[in-house]
Amino acid sequence: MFRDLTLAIGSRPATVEDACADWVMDEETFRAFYERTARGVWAYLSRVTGDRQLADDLLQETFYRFLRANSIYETETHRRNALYRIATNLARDARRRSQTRPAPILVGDEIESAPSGGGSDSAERSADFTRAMSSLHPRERAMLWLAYAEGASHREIASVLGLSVASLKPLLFRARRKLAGLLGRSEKGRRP
Amino acid sequence: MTRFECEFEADVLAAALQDRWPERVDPELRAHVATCAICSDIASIGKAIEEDREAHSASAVIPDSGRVWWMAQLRARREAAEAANRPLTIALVAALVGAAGVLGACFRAAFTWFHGVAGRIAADISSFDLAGWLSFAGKLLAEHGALALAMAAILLLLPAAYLAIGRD
Repeated sequence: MFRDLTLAIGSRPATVEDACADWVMDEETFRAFYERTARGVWAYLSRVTGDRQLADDLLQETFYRFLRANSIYETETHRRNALYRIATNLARDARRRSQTRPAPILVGDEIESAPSGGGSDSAERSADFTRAMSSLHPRERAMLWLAYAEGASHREIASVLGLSVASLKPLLFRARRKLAGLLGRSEKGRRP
Repeated sequence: MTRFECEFEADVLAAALQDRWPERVDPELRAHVATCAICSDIASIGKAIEEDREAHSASAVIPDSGRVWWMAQLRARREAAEAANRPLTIALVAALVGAAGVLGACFRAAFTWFHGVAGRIAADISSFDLAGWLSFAGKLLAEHGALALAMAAILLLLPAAYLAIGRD
């Protein structure tokens, strides 16, 4: 349904000068959209890839590809979904490229900075959460993040991840169970 | 049949995000969550994800929007220039391959003639009379020395003049 609403125009510029002239978005609109979405996209990329530095690189690439796609969207939600779809594909490609290297087990600065004992409760919770998320499959991380951090609907998540709504529901259910189980175990482990 | 959705999901998530869970919610909802796997999972992960999202967003170092726009423009122009140059490069390579082919065909057609000429040159080299050639060259220079000097000067000066004019 969402895909039908997008309309791609001007696929290839006639000259070098035209390369950006026919972009649907002007600078002002782009900058406003970027300000609204960049932090969320970065957090999503960081959680899905488990690598903050990679998230920095992919963020710029995501916005560039979004601009170059040069599509018209009916609503802001459609535009955001397209952005997250690009980010998801880039994260997936990056993971495929780095599959020869071992995946990071722990991610984020909070793991290094989290005290091993006697630290604040929120720092420990954050470390537990990071550990639990890194145990999940990237697609599970993506769907949980979109559902509960971005508040996306099933239809939107399915569109971003390239799944059908029917197949998303059981996958999301299982991912949720898995994360709840992992967090529950961490919680029990921390209790005296 | 396994259920994957629950009608109270949104209520439980809202309570978790608003810090109302578990103390400040209806007892009925609490009772439901105690028996519903879907809602109990949401109650335990909803707040954790939200806290992580806030921490992540706060710690993110995002490049300036103007810089991202400018870099995107530069990259688009560069890619457009590369795309524009691609047909030219292809045409150049095709022309070179064509020229090499024509040259090869010509050589093949004139092979017998080349073979004869090469044989004659080889025969001349083997019977080359250096002393006779030197005396002939000396005689020629004595007769036409001025002309030879003028031609050598022209051959040397012409490229030098061309280079000087071209640089200006």
